[in-house]
Amino acid sequence: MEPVGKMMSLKDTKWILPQAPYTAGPGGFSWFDGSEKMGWKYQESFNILTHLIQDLNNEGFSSSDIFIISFSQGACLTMEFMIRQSFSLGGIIPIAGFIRYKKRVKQDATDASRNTPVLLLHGEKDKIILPEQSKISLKIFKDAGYKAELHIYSSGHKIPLQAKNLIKNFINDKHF
Amino acid sequence: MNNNLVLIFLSCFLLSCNAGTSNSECTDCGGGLLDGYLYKEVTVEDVASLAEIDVSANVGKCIRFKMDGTEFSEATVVDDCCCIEYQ
Repeated sequence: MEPVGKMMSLKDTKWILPQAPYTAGPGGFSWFDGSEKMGWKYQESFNILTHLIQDLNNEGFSSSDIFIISFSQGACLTMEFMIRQSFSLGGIIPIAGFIRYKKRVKQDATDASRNTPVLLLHGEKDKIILPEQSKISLKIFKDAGYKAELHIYSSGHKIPLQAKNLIKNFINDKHF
Repeated sequence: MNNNLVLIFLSCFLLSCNAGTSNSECTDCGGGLLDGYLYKEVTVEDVASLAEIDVSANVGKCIRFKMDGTEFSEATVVDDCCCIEYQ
């Protein structure tokens, strides 16, 4: 946790690293539970984020002070969560993720959520979740009325050092 | 400290997101951020501090390191600063 914060070197920032609620094998946790065949459960994950944001609001943080950075499956959850909220966040930064329910974005997206800026990041050599998924996400977000941007970097399924400045610039631009 | 910004970081680990894909280019780096290591490119200012812990690294090289306060407590030269990953 501390190293992540140090890497970003953002001042006066509270970092939160919640744990996914569903178990997925020995030592593994997942934000989604189920399968394509059986369907996916993620309500507990939504509840964690909802309560977290409510607690932060009670502490005095406005929703526009809150950014969600997320990777892989966490990125999938973040996008599904954000579009369905009755408020906007400072921004979301889904890295190497994809939108699971693509056809539902337009109908499920709330007006308030459309004010949440989106920075999509993806490695061009990602073979786990192909970068085309973020290109599709970008189009879906834009078509649904979101301000979204996509940066592809030269990397696999990871967050390389070069993402640091993209993330910092995005946060500084949207928040300060 | 008066925090005025909150960053929530959602990751996923092990089987939950990418089963069977542990052969990343960075597996030889020996530890990632979540193990307490940081990565950075060596700057002119770092060279003397690194020399104090007997690490010789040229400016621009990538190191994996830990800090003890403002000093390096551990550092190793690695091939590639892409070795920051959360999987």
